[in-house]
Amino acid sequence: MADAKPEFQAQLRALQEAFAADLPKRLDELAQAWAIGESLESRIEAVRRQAHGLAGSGGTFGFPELSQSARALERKLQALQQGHAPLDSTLEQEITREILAIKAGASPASSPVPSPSGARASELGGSVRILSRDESLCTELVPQLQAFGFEVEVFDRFTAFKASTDQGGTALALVDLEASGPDPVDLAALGAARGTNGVLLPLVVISEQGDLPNRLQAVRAGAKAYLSKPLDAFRLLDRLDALNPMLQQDPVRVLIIEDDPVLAENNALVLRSGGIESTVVNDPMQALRPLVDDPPDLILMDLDMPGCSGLELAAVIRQQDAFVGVPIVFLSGEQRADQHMAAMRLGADDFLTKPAAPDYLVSVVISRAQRGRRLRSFMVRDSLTGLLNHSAIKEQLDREFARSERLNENLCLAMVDLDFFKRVNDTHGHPSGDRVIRSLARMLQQRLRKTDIVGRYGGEEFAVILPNTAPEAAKRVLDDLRQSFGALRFPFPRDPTHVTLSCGVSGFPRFKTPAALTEAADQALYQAKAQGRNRVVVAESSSPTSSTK
Amino acid sequence: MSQPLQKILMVEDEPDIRTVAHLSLQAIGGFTVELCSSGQEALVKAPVFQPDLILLDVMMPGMDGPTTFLELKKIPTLATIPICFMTAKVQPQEVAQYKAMGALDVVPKPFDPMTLPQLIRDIWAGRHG
Repeated sequence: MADAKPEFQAQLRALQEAFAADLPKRLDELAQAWAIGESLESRIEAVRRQAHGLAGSGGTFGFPELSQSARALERKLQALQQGHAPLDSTLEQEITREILAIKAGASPASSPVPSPSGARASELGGSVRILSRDESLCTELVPQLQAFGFEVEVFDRFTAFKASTDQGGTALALVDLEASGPDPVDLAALGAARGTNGVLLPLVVISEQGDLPNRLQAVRAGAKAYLSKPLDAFRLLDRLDALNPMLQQDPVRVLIIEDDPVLAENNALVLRSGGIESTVVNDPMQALRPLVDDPPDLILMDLDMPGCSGLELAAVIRQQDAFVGVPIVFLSGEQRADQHMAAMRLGADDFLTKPAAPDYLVSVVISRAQRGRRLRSFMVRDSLTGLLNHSAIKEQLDREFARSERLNENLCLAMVDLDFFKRVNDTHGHPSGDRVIRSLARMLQQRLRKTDIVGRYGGEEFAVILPNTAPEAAKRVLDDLRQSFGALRFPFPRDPTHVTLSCGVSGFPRFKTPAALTEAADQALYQAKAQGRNRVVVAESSSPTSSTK
Repeated sequence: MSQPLQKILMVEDEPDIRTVAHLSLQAIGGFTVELCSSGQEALVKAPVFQPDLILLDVMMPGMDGPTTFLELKKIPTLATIPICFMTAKVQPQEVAQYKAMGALDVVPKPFDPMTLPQLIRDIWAGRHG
């Protein structure tokens, strides 16, 4: 790939841009095809065809997520056509939501409607498929997994299970070794099968026995884990979390500050070929805005720029607490030891001379950016849940608030607090309390959108920032989540085995500053508790003396 | 396959995919590429162009990929030219079905324009799958 001609790169870019420019129109057509048609059959077929086209081309033109979501939509419609699922109003609404999400995801504006369930879980790329004849295992596992937003299918025969996983769309295959019935469980055959996107089927084996021959079979089949019964969903998910610290690794994002537009574009292309996304700023005097709006994982900066040298700009950036940790890599036209030293003293992470070999540039950027991410996460994340900590979430609120104000968009803040949590700790011990907290953290992350930000505000209190969301929509999403969380049955030896939550929601522009927003959400949370807990209350007005909701 | 791979005929109804694939196969792969936008067009152009390999999209309006495949195979001068399908569905049983029909292999969509030529070469050399 290093010898790909630059003209090809330029042409490819032009084609990708043309595709991107045409995309909004195609997505409008997709939405219209669902809304208007001669008959239900013709609408389904029209949408299926268009979804197929989008799925087949998205990834080629730099929209891999579009390909995935369009393919998921296509599969759903095919199932409809083949009579595997009836079209009821729930399914119809789901399809409408999915089409809207595809539209929103592929366009610059963010999604207007947060979907209540499985928004993030669907990014796992499919369903959880279980092979088991153990009823108690299934009644335990299935509702819990569904509550976390997973789609679950259960099979009691190996052949049907294998046929289904062969079709793709399996995010996780759970095989109960005791499920041999009419057909024996053939782990070896599963080991040779491929799952979503052509990678090996993600396989977890469950069994009553942990003897060596079975374990060896599992290892040979490439199983990710071998878990013993009895198994509950929490243990399964904890184990999977340990195996997949980040289920989706977001691509590394770089801010390129370079006054020569051709060179900047070239660097962007080189980084792109390494899977790195970049934003380019040609005028150093305009560099602060993108830095604040969309903090990058790394800054790639030219040392010699008119108006404001790279060194000066780096010093300005490092002045601010928020950017003290972001890795900076300099590119310079000359090998100058004094500049090099000055740069390192400023806290530069690396110093490359132009022209930088593409492979070297990419590997320096990736390794520095990933290390920067890891370090930053220790500073901003809560160690128990992996969510943003108190100060980080407050900072995020300020940032999102400023953005919403600038763009004139809605923003909601939700404060979520576990009910009677002290009772859980006192009755079951702190490790069990921790389990409850981690389960809520996981559910919040899995059920909300990628653009929603979740933080651990206090001991049993969480804050959720929902950009581009109106209070009524936020209430719907959180109420849904409240019900699902309350339905979870924790594997505690005695009551309480269910834990509920209360939630207060406030919205901008109804409340005009981050402080007002926070206070209003707190007040609404207080009201939710006072009214009996296990509910969501929306802050109605900015008047502090307003009595009832 | 020990003969060199030089001429590729591509049959694809979507114009932007045609353009990108053409660009990729020609600029990076160095192949000589002829494009068709439909099955009917392929039946006319293929005997004249006499490609070494045909890339055939499965889902096309009018004459779809498999139908075009069968029609192409009826033409004597094209009988031994290997044909690869291009499609979003690449589950193992579907690949097996296409191969059972007589296809050389299946190229999954969406494809990466940077690596498409190498994928084609691997398929040609019989190393793929």
